[in-house]
Amino acid sequence: MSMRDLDVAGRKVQLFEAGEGNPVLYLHGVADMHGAAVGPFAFHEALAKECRILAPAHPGCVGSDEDNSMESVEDLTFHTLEVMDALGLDKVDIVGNCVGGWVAAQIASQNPERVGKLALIGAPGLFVSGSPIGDLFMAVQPRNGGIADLRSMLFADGEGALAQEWFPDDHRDKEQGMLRYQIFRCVARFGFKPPYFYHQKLRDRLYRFKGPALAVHGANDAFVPLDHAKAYADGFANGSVETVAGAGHAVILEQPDAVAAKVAAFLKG
Amino acid sequence: MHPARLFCWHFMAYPNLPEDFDEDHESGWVTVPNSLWDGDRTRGLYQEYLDQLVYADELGFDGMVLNEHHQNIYGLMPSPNLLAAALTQKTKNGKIVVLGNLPPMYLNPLRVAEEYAMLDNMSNGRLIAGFAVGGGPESFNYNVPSPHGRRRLWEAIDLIVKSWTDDGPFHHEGPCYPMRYVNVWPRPLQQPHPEVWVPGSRSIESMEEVAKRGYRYFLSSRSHGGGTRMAAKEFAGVMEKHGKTYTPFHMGVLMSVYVSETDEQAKEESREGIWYFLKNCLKGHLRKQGRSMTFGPGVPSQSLRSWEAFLNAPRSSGTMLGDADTWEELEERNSIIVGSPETVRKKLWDFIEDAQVGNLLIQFQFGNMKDHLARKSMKLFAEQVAPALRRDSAELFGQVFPQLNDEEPVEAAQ
Repeated sequence: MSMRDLDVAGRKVQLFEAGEGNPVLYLHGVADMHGAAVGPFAFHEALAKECRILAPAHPGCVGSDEDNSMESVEDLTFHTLEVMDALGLDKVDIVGNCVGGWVAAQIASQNPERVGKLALIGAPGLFVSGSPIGDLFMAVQPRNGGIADLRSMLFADGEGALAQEWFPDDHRDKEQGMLRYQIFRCVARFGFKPPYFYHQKLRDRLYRFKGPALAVHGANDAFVPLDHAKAYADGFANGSVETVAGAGHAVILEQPDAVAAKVAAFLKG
Repeated sequence: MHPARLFCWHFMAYPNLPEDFDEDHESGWVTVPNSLWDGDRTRGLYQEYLDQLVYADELGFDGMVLNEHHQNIYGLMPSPNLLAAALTQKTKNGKIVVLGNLPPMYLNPLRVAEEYAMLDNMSNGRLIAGFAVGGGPESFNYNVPSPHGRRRLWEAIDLIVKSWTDDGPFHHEGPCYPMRYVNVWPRPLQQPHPEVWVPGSRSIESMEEVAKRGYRYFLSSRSHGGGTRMAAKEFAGVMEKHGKTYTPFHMGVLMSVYVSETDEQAKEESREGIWYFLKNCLKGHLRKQGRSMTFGPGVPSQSLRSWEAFLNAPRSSGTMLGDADTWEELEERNSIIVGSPETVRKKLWDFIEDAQVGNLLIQFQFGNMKDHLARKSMKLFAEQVAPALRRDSAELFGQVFPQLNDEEPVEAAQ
């Protein structure tokens, strides 16, 4: 388990590495390593028992340089392809959580030859009529001094101990406060403006990826509704859905072992 | 002589909310339902507010201030330029300060260059051109990602000023607003261009950008404790770094005032309007209760460096202006000054003496304050507070900033 800096076209990218064997590129989300904590969660540790995880922090998150020119999901996609180049990953399995899943899907549809297997966890990125994506940015703004709205958007049990531990009302704890600000500032660059957390054309482009694709989704995800996982599975040539009952968007925090087992079985299969 | 410049700022609040608004609604911004607009009761409101600003001009204020907000009850000015246009025709002497337009919210900043140039001509050279990045609520209203705001703002300001000073047509090659033909008609009347004001909330980045271009810095804060004096010192330091010398006229602040014959009478007359303003207009903006939309990770316009500084700063009580429930709590913030002419004069003088800021932008109308009360307060201020403040500040500034004596006097109000 280690952390190191990569040079990606002159920009510093902080990379977390753990495990041995088949390399897997892990792209993080909001309630995640690099977004809510510096180091790995139980989910990442469980997954690292099965494969070699390479997890870069997105631009501006943790120790990665911020990129003020990043204005769209295409920019983050291009950046992530450059990270793959720097790591010498011509073709790799990708696991993407939350916005990391969106980027993974962008890469798979645009450069299918670079992706082996693709696992998306609670991924936004698609327009699904009648199932709008929740307003994460409004939810993180304090209401009556607290962020209960964010917790209930991310967790099936928004007032439970887990949600309180990762997203307490006091946003001025220095480490948590900084990581949260960093991931939101990063995600606002490509997720805030219309279209909100999706790419107009991605759904019609998913068919280009012919490899195995899995969408894992918390059944009670209040940020990205479950319909989006079904839309991903339908869009890919070879897609399927695994629903995690009783979990929300932060499914990797809520049921780390169950999600790691599903993802590991998919990557092995 | 260089007396403090005293401006009248009108926010144009929506005054006809239902009594139980605070109980039923989490914000006066963005999500406040426009079904609350009462067309019958609101008829004539813009005229009433405009006439108050015309009255300010007649009373000898140095100028009238307007600003831009969207989809809220705090300020009914999504387009301040429309009101500024009306003022060009109804006022004669004072500056018309638009503080400001929000270029990051628009597709094309040349529209601002054109409208400001029109206003400058229509007012016979009385425009002060303000440019702001837009706050958290505006990001939600207009779907503009906060992290892009500053980059867009400064490219827009530079393009606009260049469009006023350089001969067109020319190409502009910036990343945010590339243009093939920049060729603004009309050109502004004031040469080389109208005075430029830019608000900031004490971040060094903004001060740097303002100082190196020689523009005026407006401190975006409604509370004035030691922070305002510190901001003036910081800005003076930044100016010095860029080879420029600070004078009080390089900086402006917002104060709010209500004047009546006695302290007690002033409280009595202003209570309803001030608390309507604090509890309704500031809900969603500067109040803990309800949804806070102005500052935070959901509207991350501050740089990572600024956010880190915020997290490192000593913790304040966490309360904001809109949390004040008593006159005493209000007084602690030195934001809304209420009292007799002598009380108000003394408090403003203490502020000027301490902070050494020369542009005071003063709000007289609050929330649902009645027209006759706002006018009474303005008149008492103009007749019984302003003359002493002007006299004393001119003397003080002349002593502390001797370089002012070499400069042309600031245009005195009539």
